[in-house]
This record gives sequence, structure tokens and C-alpha cells, in this order.
Amino acid sequence: MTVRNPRLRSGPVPLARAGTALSAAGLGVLALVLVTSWLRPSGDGSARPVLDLGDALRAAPDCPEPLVAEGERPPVDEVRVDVALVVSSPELVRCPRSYDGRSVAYEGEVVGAVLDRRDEAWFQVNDDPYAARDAGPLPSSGRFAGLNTGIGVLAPIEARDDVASVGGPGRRGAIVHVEGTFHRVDPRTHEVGIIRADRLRVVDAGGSMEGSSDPRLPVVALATAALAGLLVVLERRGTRR
Amino acid sequence: MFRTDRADVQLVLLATSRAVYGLGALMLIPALVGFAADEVDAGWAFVLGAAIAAATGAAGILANRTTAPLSAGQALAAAGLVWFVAPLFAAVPLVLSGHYASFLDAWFEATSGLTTGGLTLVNDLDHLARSVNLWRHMLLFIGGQAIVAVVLTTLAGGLVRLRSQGEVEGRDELRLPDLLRTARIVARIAAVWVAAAIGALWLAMTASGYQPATALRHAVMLGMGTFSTGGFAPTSASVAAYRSPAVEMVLIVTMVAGAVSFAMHHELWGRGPGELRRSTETRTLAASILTLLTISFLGLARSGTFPDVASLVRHGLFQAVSSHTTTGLQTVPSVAYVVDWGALAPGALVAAMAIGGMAGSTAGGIKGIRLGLVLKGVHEEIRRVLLPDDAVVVETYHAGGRRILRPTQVRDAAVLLLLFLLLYVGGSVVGLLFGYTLEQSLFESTAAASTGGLSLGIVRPVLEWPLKVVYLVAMVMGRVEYLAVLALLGLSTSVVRGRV
Repeated sequence: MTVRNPRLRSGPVPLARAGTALSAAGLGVLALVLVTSWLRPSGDGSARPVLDLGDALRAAPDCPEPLVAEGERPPVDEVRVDVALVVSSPELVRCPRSYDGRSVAYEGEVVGAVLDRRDEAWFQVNDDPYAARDAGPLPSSGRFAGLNTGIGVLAPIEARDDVASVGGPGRRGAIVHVEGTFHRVDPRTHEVGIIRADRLRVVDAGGSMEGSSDPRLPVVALATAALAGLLVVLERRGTRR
Repeated sequence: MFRTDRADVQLVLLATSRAVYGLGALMLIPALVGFAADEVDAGWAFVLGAAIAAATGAAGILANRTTAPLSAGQALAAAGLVWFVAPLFAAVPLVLSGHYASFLDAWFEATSGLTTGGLTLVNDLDHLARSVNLWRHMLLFIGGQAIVAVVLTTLAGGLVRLRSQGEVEGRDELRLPDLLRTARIVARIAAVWVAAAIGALWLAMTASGYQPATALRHAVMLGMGTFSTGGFAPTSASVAAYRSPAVEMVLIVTMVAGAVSFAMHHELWGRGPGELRRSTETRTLAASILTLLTISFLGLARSGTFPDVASLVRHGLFQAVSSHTTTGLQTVPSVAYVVDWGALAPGALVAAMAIGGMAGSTAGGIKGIRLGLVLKGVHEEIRRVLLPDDAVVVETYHAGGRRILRPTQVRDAAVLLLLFLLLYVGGSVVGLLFGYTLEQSLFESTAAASTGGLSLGIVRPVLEWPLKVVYLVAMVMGRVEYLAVLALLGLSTSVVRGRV
């Protein structure tokens, strides 16, 4: 004979009760959304990235002619003046063959870490809207502008001494102006889509991000924690019994 | 299971409440990290998230408490419910971080974490608070290990009795000690691998030029995430940020380890590599990855993507392993797959994500065992046609021992394979409706449903909201391999229809 667990309910699920429970769950989710919307840092949700790569995927990229067409050798007797093109990271990643081997000028915020390599150093330089000097990173500007976009830059080791601030949590990185050659695939390091910099100049030193704490958050958090604590105690007592 | 009564609903809600309760407790870890790192607002956001989850979980346990055991069907339905509901609570600190434009975006991110998908909607990742970034990677680890424990226990009768991967044991009752014992073994294996990965990554990153403290932070996040075959990275440049072949090699080994089933890990530790060599699933996956890697290399060579063999092998191998293990880490910009990799190599990556890793691992996709059984079934049919009518055709496979292939196994594997293909194609149809090309839509849809995590760049914060919902559902269905969602639908339908 099977003895049914006395706490296990039996019988069909009353539809009305199921409906009430689902409605309550829905209201709970709605309350969660409303409370978090009220408490989250205010920001401009309408800002769009300068160049939305996802939008750009819908259309074929309009890439400039490459410096040397595939399969061709550059003419030996022709004098070429390669003027540094001012480029952005979306242009470089969308049209890597067009810019391969070209002199480029690029500007952005140093983020992540500066990695020493004997007589050179790696910089990750982002030129997304968060690097803009008038707006800055999301935590300080409050402007949503999508994902980060950037390019790896390999510069002479001396450049690392000029970069005092690297962007990260709570910090705005130095804004740097880079001039050098873009490589679709760097022949020496085998890194993809990088700039070998001849010159790296700091335009803005960067520094700590200013922020203010929201006084509502600890109040709501502690009040909710008190309620949670009460329920947890009741649950633990029930388990012991 | 489909003749639902109140006991079924009670047990499913109880299991879900326990999962939410546990998630709340885990949120206290990034809360402590936040306060220690002077990220006060983030710390309080995690306290609030933990409190909401703990309160909801505790209330659910109080309302549904019983000592009755879960059946396999109830556990499956609970798994389906957990993977939809738990991310709602995990999203609370994310939305409060200010880096997600809406609650839907934060819910998507949390779902991507708990399903080990790796697709991201975060704005300005490079300035994200350390504690929030840690939470993103913790979600990969929590979700990865949890699904392994659930799958092994509900579908294979527990790791300790596992002998045939991919077979439904058909147990009537699921004893909680089985789940706990399986979870402990899974945790032990994961702890060893993650610790080894963190150590190796820390060494490689420090050698690459990172400060030791920063290297440790990144190693912890990547170690947890990569073994869980999840594609979140600590920075926007993904793995390219480290500029280090050594880091990439460690990650390759860790990704492969994550895509190997925990049953196989258990076997390797206990008995040695014999099962690894004989298993139908590992042989199928080895053949698959070799084939797709070759196709990928040929495609890259033909399109002239890389000027030399060294860079072709380095990046081609990494991306092939990342896609086949459904991890999603990248050493090249996302857009490169569209603009610079030709058609053959990205096609191979899509096929690799679609197939995925081993059943009972953290990897997603169709799984090697299903592909292997279907191929064996095809082989059996071909032999049946070619041999005389009175010939006895017996096909065998190896999973913990040599076994005779039954028609029901081939049928079940084929049905799930078809369902996954439907999911991949269905998601890509929605992408087409929003103006993306077939190649792009199929790539992104497969990445979502297989929890592969590689992206062409379609998934980004300004993605159309219906696509966010479609990919979110696809990630959950792919993660719990349809069965749990179908069990949950069955439970819900029979409640509405009022069956006794």
C-alpha cells in the first residue's frame, strides 16, 4: 500500500486558482520591472550608435578601393604619396581589405590594459561614443550608444609612459591620436585588424569618473532584505520541523 | 505527466522556488565584491536582487513544501520553468547597473548567461563595474553546471549509474539524493577544471603583460565562463584583448574540456581513456570537428583571409573550436565573418555550432550522440538494402559498453535532430522578416538556439525587440533541449484542460 505524503496536494488543479496564480505572477513581474526602472540610473535610452554595425549588415558595405588590388603588385617606378586617412573602427572592420597597408589616422580612448612587448606596447583604443570627450563613458554620461567598438594599436614602447589613465570600471582612459599603418592581418604578430603606430599622441589625459550614489537603493535593498530575512527564518524553521 | 494534478504543480513550483532561492544566495558573492571594490551602488543592487530572489524563493518553498520525491517528468518541467524564471531575478542587478537599456535587455543577458549562450546586449562593457562583470560570468558557470546535473539525473538516472549516454532510463521516481550526489560529482569535476584553467590563464595573461591582480580577475571570469562553454568575455575585444597565443591555447583546452560530458570526465578519472577512444559520441564529434576544420581552413585559404599558414591555423582553429564547443569566444571582430571570411568558413562555423558538443556536458547544439545514432541508423538501412533479404542486420554503438542500436533510439535521436533544425530555421525566418540576409539570419539563429554564442553583430543593444524575444526563447529551448519546455507545455496545457 502506498502512503501518500500528507503535505502533497491531490486532485485536479482548479482553473480559477491557476488563473489567479498566473495573474499574481504576472503582476509580480510587472512590479519587478517597475521597481527596477524606478531605481536604475537615469539615462538617455534614445541615443543610437554613430554607426550601427547591425544596421550596416543589412546593406553591402561601401568600401573604398584597396591600395593594391588583389593579385596585383604595386608598380615599381610609380611614386605613391600615401596620405594618412582619418578612419573609424567600424570602417576598418567593415572594409579591412580596402585599408590594408594604408596610412591611417585614428583617435579614441585607451581601455583595458597596456601590454608591454619588449620595444613595443599594445593598446586597445575604442572610438565609440563612450570615448567622446563631450559625453564620455556610460556610467558618467548616461547615454546608451550600443556596444564598444575599437582597434588594437601596436605602438613604440615609449608611448606607454604618456598614457597615464587606462579606461575601465570607474575610469576614463586617455584619449590618444594615432598615426600609422593598418594591417588586415599583421605579418609579425598575426593579430587581426590592427594599426602599427608610428606616432601616438595623448590628446586628453583621462582620469577617474565622477559618480554619485543613489540614496534610494540602500533603503529599498535593506527593507527588502528584512522581509527576505523573515521569510528565510520561517522557511528554515519549517525545514527543521 | 500529462494527467496533471495539484501534486505535479506543487512539486514543479517547489523545485523552481528552491532554484530561485539558491540564486539569491549566490548573488551575495558579487555583492561582497562590489562593496570591496568601492562599487557601492552595484553592491546594493546585488543585495536587492538577492533579497528579492530569496524572498520569492522562500515564499514559494513555504507555500509548496513537501517531502515527496520529484519524478523525472516533474524535474523536466521544473527545469523548463527555472530557465525562464530564474533569469528574471538574475536580471535585477544587471538592469540596476545602468548598462542595459531596458529590463528586456537585462533579462536577455541573464538568460544568455544561464543558458551559457554568450550573446550580449550590454552597453559599454569596457566601463562596466567589476562586480557586475563577475556576475555575468558567474551566470555562465551556474547555468552550465546546473543543466548538467539536471540532464544527467533526469535522463540518465544519475551519474553514478550512467552507462548509456543519451538513453532515457525511464525512472518513475527521482530521489533527491541522486540529484545531490550527481551535483556533488559534477561540482568536483568542474572545480578541478576551473581551478586549473584559472591558474593557467593567470600565468599566460601575466606573461602577456597584464598586472597580476587584473590578470587574476580576468582569469577567474574566463575560467568559469569558458569551462561552461559560455561566450561572455570581460572586455569588448573578447580574446583578442590579450594578444596572446598562450591564452588562446589554454582557452582551447578549456573549451574542449567543457564540451566533454561529465560522465566521460568521471570515466577518464576512474578508468582511463579507453571509453574516450571507443565511445560512438566522441568518434562522431572527432570526425565532425576534423571535417569542419578542414572545410574552414580550405574556405579561409580560398578567400585569402590570412596571408600565411600561422595566422590561418591560429585563428581558424580557435574559431572552429569555439563554435563546435558552442562557447562563442572570438579572436577576430564579429563583422569579419561577413566581410572577410568568404562563405565556406562561416558555413562550417554554423554547422559546427549546430552540432555542438557531447550530451551531458555544458555545450549546446544537437549533440554528438544524436548525430552518431542517426548516422548509424542510416548505415544500418543502407546495409539492409544492399544485403540479401534474409540477412540479419545488426548495428551496434558504444556508450559505456557495446550496445545494439534499437529503432526507437534512432527515431528519438532523429526527432530531436529535426526539432533543433526547426529551431535554427524558424529563428532565421524571423531574422529575414527584419531585413537581414539569409546567411546572417541563419548564423545568428543557430548561435542562439545552439547556445553557440558567436555573433555577426546582429545581436546588439538596438536589436529589434521581437528578435530579442525570439532569440531568448531559442536559447532556453536549445539549452534544455526541448524536452523540458515540452514537459512544461504539457503541464500547462493539462492544467488548462482540467484533466484528472
